[in-house]
Amino acid sequence: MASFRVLYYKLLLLLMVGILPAKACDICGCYMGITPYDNQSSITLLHRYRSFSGYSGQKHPIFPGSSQLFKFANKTNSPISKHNGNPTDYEVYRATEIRARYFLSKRIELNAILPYISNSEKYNSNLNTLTGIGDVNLFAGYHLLRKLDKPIINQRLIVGLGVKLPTGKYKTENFEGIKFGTLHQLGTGSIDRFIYANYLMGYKKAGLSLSATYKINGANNQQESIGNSSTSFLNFFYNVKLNNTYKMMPSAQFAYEYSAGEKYKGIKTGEHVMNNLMGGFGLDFFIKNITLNMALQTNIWAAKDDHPMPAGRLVLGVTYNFNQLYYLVN
Amino acid sequence: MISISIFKSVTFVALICTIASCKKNNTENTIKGLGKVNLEFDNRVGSQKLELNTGAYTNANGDDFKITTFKYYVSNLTFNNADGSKKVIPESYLLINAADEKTTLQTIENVPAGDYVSMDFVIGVDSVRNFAGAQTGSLDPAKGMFWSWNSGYIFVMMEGSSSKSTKPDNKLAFHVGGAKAPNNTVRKVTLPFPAGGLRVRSNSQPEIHLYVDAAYLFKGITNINFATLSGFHGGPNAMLIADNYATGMFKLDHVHN
Repeated sequence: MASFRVLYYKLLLLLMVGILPAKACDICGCYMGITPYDNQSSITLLHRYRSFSGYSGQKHPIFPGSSQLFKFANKTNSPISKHNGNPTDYEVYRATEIRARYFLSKRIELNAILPYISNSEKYNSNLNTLTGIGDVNLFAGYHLLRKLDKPIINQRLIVGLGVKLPTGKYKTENFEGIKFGTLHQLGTGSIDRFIYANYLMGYKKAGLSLSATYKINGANNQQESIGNSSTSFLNFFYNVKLNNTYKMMPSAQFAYEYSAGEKYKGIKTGEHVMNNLMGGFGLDFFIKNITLNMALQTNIWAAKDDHPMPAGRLVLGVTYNFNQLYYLVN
Repeated sequence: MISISIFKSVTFVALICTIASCKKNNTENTIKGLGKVNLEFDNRVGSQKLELNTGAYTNANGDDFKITTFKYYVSNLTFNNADGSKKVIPESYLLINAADEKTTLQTIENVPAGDYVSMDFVIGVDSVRNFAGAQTGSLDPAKGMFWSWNSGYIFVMMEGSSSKSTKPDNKLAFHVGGAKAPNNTVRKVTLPFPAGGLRVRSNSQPEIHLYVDAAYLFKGITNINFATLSGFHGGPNAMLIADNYATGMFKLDHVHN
């Protein structure tokens, strides 16, 4: 009976995420980080900041001009001007997220990301910032491989499916009644699906974590969509046990992102194609049940285009891990 | 008992999701009203930005030259739908002057909302308007693009200098105009939009970025030798230049929807 029920849940999970017209994260991709958690349900408050500044050949500050790490005030009273090489131009994408992870069984996890978005765009001194609820992500992972608690080499592989729901506004206009650009909006208005895999390998105190997400993006009711995109994170980390309570995990991080850019009626328009490799470092602190995460990445390589170039990504997070001892499904 | 209720709720969620997945995306088919389109004229000489007075250029014949004046009319803007239908923008007469940056970014108002695959325009001023109609706005003779002695507009004006020119002070002065046979220099160009086209909506302001390459006055069909031709005011030589620039002076660089 029990095994039948497990099978039933697995089938339902596949049904839920597989058949759903799914929708994934924005063009900046799902930030997955190292995710060294293990079978513990958790709740995270995470802030993601990503900036694009300066054009090819210009400077690319991570915090250009008046941009800020946090910005919660809506500002739509500037004209929407086009970008044309002004060195003070920038785009900043911020997301403050509540991330909940629940382990249904030791191998099945359910995740939800509820984002509060704050996107700023400054072209030719015209700054507009849109703030509000973004697109909710729901995804479920299955722990395909669990070889943990081994003396030397530990491995874990999670594969999963997810959906991004159109909960964010996507047709916001400025004071002149002109609609903001697709990427500037809080949501895409489309339902996107995504699949992901997360592989973790530890060798003694060192390890690597590789996360890859592939999104199959839907179209909104304006027949606009973003081309399918992939995001990969590769982290090399090292475990430092400070004492019995505190643990620290510095890491070297790499993130690669590719998106075919915007589409209209299913045809690629060539707008906002994204091909970018970033790198940086991260530091995670583990204090009993609490984890503090931070990461800073800068541009390593980006395909040239006529937009401000990728400048940096900053992630700050705090996670509370529940001491989960029981699972609904065994 | 608890696990049964979970069992039920998971089944319920799965059912809802499955049903939701069957729902087709609604598509708003209400593309109506009038929108605006920005036209950006990016004046260049070959691969270089056009810099009046200071930029040093070489034409296809190998002759050096500088540009002191570059002005031109673009008129009779027409946006074309995929089905072949056309939306002509009435009274569209634009005068672009490289010396006046304001004129290089023009906003076209009252463009019917729609998805367009290409645009047409006339380089110069159509024949009818050359000889009749209101001479106001950009067509005001005070703009310095009107031959009062000939009753007609100068369509494209390029002035500058070249060491090859035999004119006093090595000047170049090409004034292309004339709307009557046999020297009718009215030329029409069609520029297709890239994939995705131009989307005009009442709540959007797409931008068309055009490269305007002054080098095409002197190449395309006939390479111009400044030693033998350093200027004119209309006439048969203007035909050479008009045929040249019709082949490639205007290129569509990109569209921002």
